[in-house]
Amino acid sequence: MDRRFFLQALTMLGGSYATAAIAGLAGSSQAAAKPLAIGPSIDELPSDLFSEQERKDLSAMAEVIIPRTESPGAIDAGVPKFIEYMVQNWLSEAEQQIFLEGFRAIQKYCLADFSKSFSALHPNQQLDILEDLEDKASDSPWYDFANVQRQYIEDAPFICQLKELTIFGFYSSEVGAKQVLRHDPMPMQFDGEYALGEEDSSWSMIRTM
Amino acid sequence: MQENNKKYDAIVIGSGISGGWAAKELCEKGLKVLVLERGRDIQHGVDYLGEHAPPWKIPFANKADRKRNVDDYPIQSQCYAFDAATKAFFTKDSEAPYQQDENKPYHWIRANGVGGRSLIWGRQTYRWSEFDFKANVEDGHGCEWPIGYDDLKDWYSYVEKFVGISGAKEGLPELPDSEFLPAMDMYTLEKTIKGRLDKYMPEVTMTMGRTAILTENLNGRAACHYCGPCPRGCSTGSYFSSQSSTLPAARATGNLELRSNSVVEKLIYDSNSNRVTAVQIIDANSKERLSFSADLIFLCASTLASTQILLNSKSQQFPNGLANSSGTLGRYLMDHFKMQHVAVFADNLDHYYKGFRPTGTYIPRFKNLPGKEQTDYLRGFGLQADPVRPDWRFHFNQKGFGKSLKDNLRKPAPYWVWVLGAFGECLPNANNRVELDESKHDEFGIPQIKVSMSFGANEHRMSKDIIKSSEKIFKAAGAVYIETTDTLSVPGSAIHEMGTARMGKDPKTSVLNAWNQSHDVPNLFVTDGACMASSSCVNPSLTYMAFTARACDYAVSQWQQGKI
Repeated sequence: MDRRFFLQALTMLGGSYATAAIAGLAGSSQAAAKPLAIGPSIDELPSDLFSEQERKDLSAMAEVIIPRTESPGAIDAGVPKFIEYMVQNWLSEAEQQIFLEGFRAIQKYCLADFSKSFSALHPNQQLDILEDLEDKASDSPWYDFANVQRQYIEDAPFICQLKELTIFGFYSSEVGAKQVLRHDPMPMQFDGEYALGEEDSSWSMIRTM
Repeated sequence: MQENNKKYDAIVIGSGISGGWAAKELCEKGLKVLVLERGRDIQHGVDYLGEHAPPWKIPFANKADRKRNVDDYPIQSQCYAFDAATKAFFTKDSEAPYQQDENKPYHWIRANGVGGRSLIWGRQTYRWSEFDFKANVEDGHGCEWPIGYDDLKDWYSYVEKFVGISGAKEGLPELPDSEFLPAMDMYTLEKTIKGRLDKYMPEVTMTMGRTAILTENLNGRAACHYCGPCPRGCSTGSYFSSQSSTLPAARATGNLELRSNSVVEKLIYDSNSNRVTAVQIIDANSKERLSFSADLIFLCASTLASTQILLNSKSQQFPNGLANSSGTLGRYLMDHFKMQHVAVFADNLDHYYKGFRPTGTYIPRFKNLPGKEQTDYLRGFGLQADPVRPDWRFHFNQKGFGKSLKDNLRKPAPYWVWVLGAFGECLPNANNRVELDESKHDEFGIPQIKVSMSFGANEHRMSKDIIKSSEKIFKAAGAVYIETTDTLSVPGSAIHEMGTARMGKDPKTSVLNAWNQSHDVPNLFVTDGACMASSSCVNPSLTYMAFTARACDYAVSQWQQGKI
């Protein structure tokens, strides 16, 4: 475990980990570059990696991780589409293989043991399956205090990949930002003594230097 | 080669912080000015593509685009300001190669484009002190500065009133006060820490970061709206950049012509008149060579790029680079070394913040000064301090599922982190240098630079005291957990590179005189970081601005008197 790295990373928040293309988003030239603010949202980008059945199962898994409660959950926030896009376009080939193998192993297991797809199982059964996966993965460096997103753990097991993509997709989404976190993009002031109540959420955005 | 018949009074090379100032000053004095910028045009506001994009619009939810970064931005992507929403301002390493000494990595952070690094800079603005200008002559490292603090004092005031700097007066001779707009507020945690430091470490001053960000409207620029990520660009002009400030002022005179995509290859020197008579460029799009003429030449291309141009401007008189009769051109490269230490605090957990304050606090140098602790190393360091309340981005990898996980991730962490970032002064050393590598060329056929730099024994001795001092400050401040590192930053990565065409009294040992004017060639001025003869420990941009305004004033008066 590398606490030092975790803490160091705080100092770089919003820095080198956070990156993707502007002009390169659609492989386009600079002339075609548009402001990100009027571009597609992260849950609107198309991908064609999964079948309809796989999408149902993936959605059910994301919903186990971040369920709808008194506030919206992963499906409400468009997280499954984000995950599919990230698996297809962001994970390296080796990481994508880990994801697909892990994902298909669950599907196979559900059909063999329950004669049902994952999405058709009772929520408690779904939770048991994912908890079991987490138990088996619990010694992965992914769980280390030091694991911030700047250094993606390349050999993280499927369950860790799934949680990471679900959480990033959810708390970065418009639904997550506005209905679960607090979204205040144009504060017009700085108040350093602003109170924090016990039930108050974080801001959706962070300062970057 | 195509010669441009139009003759300008002055040509400014570079449009960043120094070039923008040169353009403004020269245009306002009535000169017809051509600014040459090697990168693309970047229009204020219009081309700030990442500005105000909410989290759900940032590609890959702002996770690093690892493959593209490795391919195109292996160095730039390590800059703290580089991310999905700012990368369009950065130069692709793959398209602008340079050479490093095999055993001495050097990070050259670049933003070729109109405005240069003024769009992505850290906006920290501190005056140098009288002690900084005296350091070389007192301890014998580097050459004596040809000017002192008093020569620059009024020029600091002059540029500060235009830039707009928020900050608090402290009355410290080691960190002279600027002309300030009101300082930003401190976090409750910072007030707690400051109170404890006042009590337990009275030798330390903790002040609001002095920042080129407006807290009140100024000259048509709006006060900060606290949206957070400055390096994406600011269409309200709340932070100082060439786009928001100096270039519009230059343009308003009607005397400015700005030519982007103009890569300066060399300066053409005429030995009969002992003047630079033309600037030879390559148009980055058409690849055609053009030359432009002017009476005055201001080289403001950034430390390494300005020196590259001089080294590549060879003639019979100057076989080792223009204005290099001293042989010191390219030598005495400096950059601050950076160290970062962090501590966890359990105070003021029921306090948060509203608005994203675009600066931290500052603890000025408090060692090796009159009346302060003397140490086993020379010169000193300053500390930039910053509070962070970690959110889900830092503990997304916890165990668990469902409602409790969702709720945990929703809330700020039950602790604060306070970060101390040190900048240590780097001694001038002849072996830290930039040269041309004649065997390697860029896409325009211009020889690449080769940088060779490492921090020396004094910097390493200082780094040990930085760790000790940071621990002492953390303890006095009330930290419950402290983590220090002994790593010094890779040279260049503080982005405070300076020197290589230093100012000095003696033409035999320096490139520029007290007016940033070449000792050898009177119509040539260099006013960016290349001119620096020592490095202080404070962020340097404000000093480049003051030097530039002062040099413009001198150059124009000489020119008007027919002396140049």
